[in-house]
Amino acid sequence: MRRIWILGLLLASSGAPASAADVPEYEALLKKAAAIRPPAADFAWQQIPWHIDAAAALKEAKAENRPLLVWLAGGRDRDGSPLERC
Amino acid sequence: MIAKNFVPVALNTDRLPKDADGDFFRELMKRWPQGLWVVTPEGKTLAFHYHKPDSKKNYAQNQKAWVDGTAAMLEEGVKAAGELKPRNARAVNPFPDRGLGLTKDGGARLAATVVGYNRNGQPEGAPAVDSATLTKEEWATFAPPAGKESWSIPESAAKKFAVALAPVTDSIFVPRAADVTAAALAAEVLRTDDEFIVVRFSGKWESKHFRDGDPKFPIAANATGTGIAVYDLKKKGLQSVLFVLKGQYKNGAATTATAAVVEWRAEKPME
Repeated sequence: MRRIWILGLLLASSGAPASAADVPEYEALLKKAAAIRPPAADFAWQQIPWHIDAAAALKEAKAENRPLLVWLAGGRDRDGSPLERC
Repeated sequence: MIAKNFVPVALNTDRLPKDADGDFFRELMKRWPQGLWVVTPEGKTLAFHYHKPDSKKNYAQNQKAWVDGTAAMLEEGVKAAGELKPRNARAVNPFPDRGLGLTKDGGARLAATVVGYNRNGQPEGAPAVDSATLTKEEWATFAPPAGKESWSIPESAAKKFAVALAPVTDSIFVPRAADVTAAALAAEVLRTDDEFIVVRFSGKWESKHFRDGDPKFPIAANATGTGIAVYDLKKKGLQSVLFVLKGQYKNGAATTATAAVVEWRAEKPME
């Protein structure tokens, strides 16, 4: 009986570490955010294995003897990447 | 099709390296300053596309034309490339600190997603994806200061939420921090327990700028927002920060309702 009691105590105290998801106020705001977030399909382009480094992309293309798909954007003298805003 | 056939690269034309690699891409720009190319490593263009909106078409028609044109260009590029062994490259997050962990200098890069809505309240247009990068000093102000129940986030940090005010992907239509005319972000401790301090933020923003600096094309935006931060008492650091903003974006005569999510976590959630 004592063994069972100790085992129960160990099991009760060994749960996963508490996280923000356990905080009701955060959880409530997450639900509001979920209503705004676009569906995953709107971000399918992020699943493409983009390079953001010119040298690395060219090196890989030459090594594989394969064409590049080049997305060039900008013209406003701003930092950033076409994968966000630039 | 793209991942299977090509080595994809996305580059900012104003930040190309000043070397032979940069010259490779500058050469492409002689045809057009931006767009999509399929090009061999030797520099031969196999296909090209740049979408120019047709004033005779409405927004949806232009979007369809853009997608169709891009798809046709990719098909053309695959055909021109000849036989290619399929690639098996996996996408690697190019911005691992976006919305996660600390930046190299101890600050934080908050992940922003912004959506615009049509008159029927339905999302319209592609979601805008951006980041608000806070310095170490600015980021430190989001954590509850010892002995204080309420405080204000410095204006320099609050203004960086400018990226969350515009539901457009082209940066000329998006206010920068310097364009924010009013930014107030207040914080208060909601409660403290054994594990966490829960902080609530209330924010208000207004911005005004001119497209390309031309007073003929004014753009104004405003938003209010609520945020929750969870500060981990055991780890002595912020664990999560989440904001939801709602506002309006006015480009010339057209006004669009907007919503944005701005977020950050210290660690990836366990799967």
